[in-house]
Formats: sequence, structure tokens, C-alpha cells
Amino acid sequence: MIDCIDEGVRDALPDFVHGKLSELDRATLTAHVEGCGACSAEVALLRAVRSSASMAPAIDVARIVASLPVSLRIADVGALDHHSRPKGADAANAAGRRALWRIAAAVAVISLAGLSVVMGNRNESDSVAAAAGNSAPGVLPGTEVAQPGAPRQQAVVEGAAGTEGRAVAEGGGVAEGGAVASAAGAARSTSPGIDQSNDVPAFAIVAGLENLSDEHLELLLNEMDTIESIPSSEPEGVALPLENLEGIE
Amino acid sequence: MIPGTQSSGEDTDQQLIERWRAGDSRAATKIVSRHADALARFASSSGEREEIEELVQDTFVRAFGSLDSFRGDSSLRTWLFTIERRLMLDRRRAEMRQRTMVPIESMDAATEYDALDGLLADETENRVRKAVDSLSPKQREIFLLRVEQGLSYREIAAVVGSTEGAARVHYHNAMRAVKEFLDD
Repeated sequence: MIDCIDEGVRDALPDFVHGKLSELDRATLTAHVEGCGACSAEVALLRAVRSSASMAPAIDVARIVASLPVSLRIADVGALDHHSRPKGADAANAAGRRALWRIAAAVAVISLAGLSVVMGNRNESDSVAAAAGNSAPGVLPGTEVAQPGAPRQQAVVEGAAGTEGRAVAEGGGVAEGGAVASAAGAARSTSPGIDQSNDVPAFAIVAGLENLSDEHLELLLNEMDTIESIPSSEPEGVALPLENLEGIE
Repeated sequence: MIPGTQSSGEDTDQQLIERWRAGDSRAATKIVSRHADALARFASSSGEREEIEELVQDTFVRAFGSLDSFRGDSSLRTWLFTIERRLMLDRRRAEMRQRTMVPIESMDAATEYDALDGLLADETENRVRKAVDSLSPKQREIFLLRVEQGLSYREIAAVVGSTEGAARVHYHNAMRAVKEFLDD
């Protein structure tokens, strides 16, 4: 099979076969091919290649379209001429806006719920600490002691702790775990009435270390030396019999 | 506008893209309908035998996912071919890693179409196909982009990451090789 000497024509033959030439070029090339055996043979070969290539499977257009990402470029919609906008575009954009509003509303609700939980926890912690600080005679001066492990529903202080100057723990103030504060663990070693079964110091000093006396500080440090590690589970509450706490201070 | 991609009176690819960006899902259907078959043929011609529809689908998903990066310097079809070609290369690399097989260059398609040869009723077409399959992967790819898809040398260069001149040389070398194969 010989080649035509006109490379320009040979270059254009695939476009000729695909019908991509202008009418003028097509007419010119048709005339050339009819008189050129090499180009005529090459055109036949090109057509044979094309026809032998139709082995591709049928494509499910709808399935592909369904898998495409949805365009949510709503900002672009405003830039379009309303009259030239396709009919389906308005509905699609309205749906897009509704979806965005729903997402925004969901985020707002979740944020409010999370904020309320955080505020609730803070209020409860404050009340427990305040009750302990105001009422428990075993608390050292200037030291706020809270019981982070005490169950919240049991942290109810009966009576007016602020007015009477003491709080009575629910359940008698013993092992059931009330809202009574321990005296920073140091009191535990000096108070025989404390429930010694609870070896885990259930306290948290939130302020005023500098206000501890040397004696209490030493006791506290000794107590801390016995702590092996941070408990992995929530510690049980410690309740002190009130009559045993009065002598601590 | 790329000749052959849409007839007169129909929206151009660029117009359809703008309509899709505006939220018109029917524009996406038209784009897919317009180019899906060409992508399937290109995949088939390139030696893909399995999951061609998935390949075409992945091509469109990737294209529509990054339409913002389509500047319109080339035709949409050329861009789609470029994406599909990358996906095919990724597939072959993955297959190579799985099978620890021979390099791509040795995956000459001389036998790849054997299973389909029986479907080619016409002996001439059968011989032509074998002649095309005897080309090197690079030659075959460029030859088929030119003959089957009707891409210009410039578009071919964009798809395969080459130059217009190199694409032209590869095409003519491929044509000469096919003729020699058929003459034997």
C-alpha cells in the first residue's frame, strides 16, 4: 500500500472521514480522493478502523447522571439572566436553598443543646462547690473542695446551708455519698469517723493552696504520695459524719 | 466548539456546563449523552475490557467534581479523554501492583482482543483490528484518537501530554505500520 505524496491531504483524511471539514475542503478532498488510489485506499482503511472499533458496551446514561455531584453554586444563579434560566433550574435551586437552611438549623439546634449541657454541668459543679465551701465544717479556710465523683442527683443539700452554716448530706452523710466535702483528704487520715473503705481520694482542690497551714499541707502531701495514679473509673463519693469534722478546723 | 460534538442549534458544551452550574440537571444528562459513547469506545480501544461503564462513570464524576478547574482552553471532550486516560493508567498501575506483572509496554494488545475476534464478522475488519493491535501502546493510542475519535493533533497532544508535532509523527508512523501489517 503506497502513500500519497501530499502529506497535507493525508493529514486531513481522518477529518474527511469524520465529516469535520468545511464544504469547500470536503469538495476539494473528495475530488482528490476520487483521483488518487493511495488516498482512496487510505480512506477505506480509516473507515474500516472506525467500524471495527464499535466494541464498546452500551452506557447507561441515567445511572451515570445519578452518580454525578449536585451543583449547589447558588451564588451563580443570581448572575444568570432570569429569562435564559432553564425551567428546572429554579426548582433545583429552591431545593438547594432548603437543604442549606435545614443544615443550618440542625447545626444551630445541636450547638444550643451542647451549650445548655455545658452550662448545666457548670451550674451543678458550682452549687456543689458552694455548698461544700459554705457548709462543711471540715473544709479548710480558703480552700474550696469539690467532689467531682459524687453523683449529681445526690448532691442535694438539705436546708439553707448558707444561713445555718452547715449542710446535711442526704442519706446521713455516710457511705451513700452526699454533698459533703472532704477536707482535702488530709482530714481523712485524722478523722476516725470517715469511711475508710474508700481509698481513692475523692476530692479536687480548686483554689487556695497557699492558705493551707504547714501542718495541713504536709498532711495533704503525704496523702498525695499514696496516690498511685489517676483512677480510671469515677471515684465514689466520700461522706463524713459531721460530728467528726468539727474538731478538724 | 468542537466539530462533531453537537449539531447546529444545540447548546454547546460550554453552555451546558453553565446550565449545570446553575442547577439544571438536564444539562448534565445532555453532556453525558453526548460524550459517553466516545469515552467508552476510547476505553475499549485502549485495551480496557472490564468495567468500561464504571470507568466512564468515574470519568464523569471526576470531571463534574472539578468543573471549576475546566478553563475551556481545550474542548470538553478532550478534557474528558484526558481524565479517562489518567484513570486507565491508574487502573493499570494498580493491576501491575496486584499481579507484579510485566510493564505496561509489554501489554501489547496483540492478544487482548482474541476473545472478541469472533464477534468481528467481517474478515477485513478483523485483520484491521489485528493490525492496530500490533502497534505499540503509544502509537495505538494516538492512532485511535485520531481515527476513531477524530481528534486533531493539538487535542491529541493535550490528552496524552505530548506535543502536536510528536502526535503527528506517531500517527503517520502508526499508519505506515498498519499498512505494512496488512500488506504482509
